[in-house]
Amino acid sequence: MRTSAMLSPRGSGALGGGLGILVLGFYSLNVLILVVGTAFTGFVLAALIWFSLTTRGFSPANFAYERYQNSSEVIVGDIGSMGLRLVNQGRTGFYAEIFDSHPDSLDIVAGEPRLVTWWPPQSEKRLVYAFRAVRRGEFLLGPTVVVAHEPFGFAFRVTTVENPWTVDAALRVPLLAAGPSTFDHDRRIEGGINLPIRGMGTEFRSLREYQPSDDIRAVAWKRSAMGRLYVREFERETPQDIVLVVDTGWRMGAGGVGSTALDRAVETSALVVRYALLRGDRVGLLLWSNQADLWVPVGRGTDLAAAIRRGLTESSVGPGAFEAGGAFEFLDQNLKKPAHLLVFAAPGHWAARESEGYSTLSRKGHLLYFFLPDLPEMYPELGEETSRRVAALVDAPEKSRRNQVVAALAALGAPVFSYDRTGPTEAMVELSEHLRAFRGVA
Amino acid sequence: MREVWPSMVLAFPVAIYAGAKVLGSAPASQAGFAGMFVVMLILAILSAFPYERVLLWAAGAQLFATAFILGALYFALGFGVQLLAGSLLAAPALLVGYSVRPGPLGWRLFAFAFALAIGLGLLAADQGLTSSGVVVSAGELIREFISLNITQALGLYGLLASTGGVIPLRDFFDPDFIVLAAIAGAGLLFTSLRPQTAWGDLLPSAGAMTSFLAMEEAPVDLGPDLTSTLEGRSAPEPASGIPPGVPGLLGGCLAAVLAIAAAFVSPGVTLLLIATGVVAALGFTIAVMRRTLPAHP
Repeated sequence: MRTSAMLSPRGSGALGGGLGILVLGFYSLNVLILVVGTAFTGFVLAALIWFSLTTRGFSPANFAYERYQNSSEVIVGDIGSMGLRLVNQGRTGFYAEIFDSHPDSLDIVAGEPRLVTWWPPQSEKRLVYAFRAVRRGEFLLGPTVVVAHEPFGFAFRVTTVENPWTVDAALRVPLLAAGPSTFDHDRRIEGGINLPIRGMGTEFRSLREYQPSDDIRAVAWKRSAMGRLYVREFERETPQDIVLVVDTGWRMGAGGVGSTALDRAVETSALVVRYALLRGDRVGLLLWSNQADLWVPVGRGTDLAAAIRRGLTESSVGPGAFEAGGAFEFLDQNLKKPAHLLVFAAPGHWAARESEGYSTLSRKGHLLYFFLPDLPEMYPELGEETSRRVAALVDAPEKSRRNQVVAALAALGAPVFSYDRTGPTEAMVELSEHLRAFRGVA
Repeated sequence: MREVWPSMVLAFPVAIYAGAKVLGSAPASQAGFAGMFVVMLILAILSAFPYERVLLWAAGAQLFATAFILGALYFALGFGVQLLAGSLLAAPALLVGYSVRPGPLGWRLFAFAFALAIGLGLLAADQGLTSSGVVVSAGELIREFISLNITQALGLYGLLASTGGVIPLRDFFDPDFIVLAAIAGAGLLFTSLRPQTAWGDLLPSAGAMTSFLAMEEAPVDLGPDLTSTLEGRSAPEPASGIPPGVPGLLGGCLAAVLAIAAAFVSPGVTLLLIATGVVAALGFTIAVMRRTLPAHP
């Protein structure tokens, strides 16, 4: 498909200026003004006509192209690369501006996705650039835009070479990937993620000391003595429901590239989902800020895994602030069976609505675990003492808010785990080991 | 900033020439006349600089000067007229100052041509006064300038109505002014017609290619393979063969030569030729091109 030549604002301005001079010339009828006007208008028109004639066959068919040295998968924060080879198969040379479209989420760190050059006929141009993925997601590179410029900027032609390329920017943890893992966390969590539901299971495993959160019916009275109570542990037999609640509010954006509070929550969520599904448990996902960004109902199977993978991969921080009360009400309405609710969130406040929601869910048999990012700790430590003092002053309100939330949760008896820029996976492992010890309390 | 200097040096003389020539005919007693011209000339030169702060100062000073002239006209008519005439004399310089400064090309060219037209009018008025033996005072100059333009308009009307009439600007000819105008035009085009994209980025030209875009220091370790691939990327390349802007320049020269030749052979037909040529070329341009504001990639 041929493209139209476009008159640029500069070109139309030049034409307008030339005609204005001619108007002055016609007013004065003076040879000097008339010649200036005629010469300039003639110059602009001749340049436009010449450009139009020499580039009249300008179209995508003029170009042969190939992408090379291209990354299709890249870890967030790491470097990917893209090479693009284009050949001008036309019969004339022209001033070209070549631009390979790319999303802002891919930060160019070396090379250029844009080249302005003279492009002789039958010659090749190469664009090569390296980029750093600054967030998770599937990103489209291309199409490549080629602009032919009139040498004085009076006009141009644009054509688009359709050569898209998809780059998948993921976190270091393989999201729900199958097969053995080399990650230490994976190995540790594999055995421990077995989350129990009280009252389930019949196969006796062991006795252990009573904890305040245990059901009094699980106490082995015959083995217990005054001042020392024991409870019976049973192996889990039935599949469990695990729901991940991930805060996508603006506060979760704290942290560096690829290591924000949300990124870390996504990593750990991915691990949990991975092993829960491998063990046959059912999993759901709720991305919530002040409303449901995404709700994947509890289930299992490849479709569900794909939906959760997509949801986690594409999750991003939004402008809203996390409202835990709303999330609890949503879960209350949408969960049919008791489930483990792993909440990765940075709530800015905790009020009566939140406590009420928590109590409602607890009454219905749901178990809630909170993984709260320590937002100031999501950033690397500052080197200088003065900087640290200033940062401490700035962070003080946030720490105060967080302490209030933690105190409110503690008052409700909710398990709370903190995480910093290293992420909540350690906390998750800790929880899983803790739960393994409590596994199958009958 | 560097490119403003050559155009300033080349463009201002034509405006200074027009003002100085008229002042040369005026009596030395009219200090307000000459003084205002000098003040406004300085402001015009200042306004050519592409510095916002300088521009603000120049604009403020011009506003002050306008208020001063109005006040003087009210309280002391004779002195106020001198200031007004001085400002009129500096009008070409003010317009040249605008045309030299970076900005929309069309407006700059129009301002330049307008400066030439006013300069022509002033010189023609001066010539009219001196040839009739009248002393060129501030008041006489303003009166003659207005009278000349009225005569010009009536002459044009007479030409269109085929009733005849005097067209003073057509008959005025000052070779020095023409030479200086040609130099000024060259100075203006020197900076405004450099190879560039539709959105104003400079295109690579032979003169600008002395520093090849070397592989910049990457902020991250790219590894040997990627570094080697990056080094193989294309660099900006200047045009080869016939310079790409030459056809346009040749077309402009041809149009000017044809216009001058036609003017010598048959002045009456010249206007018709110019008008016909411009309309035909504009028609072609509109037919093959669309006007749009592109998004910068």
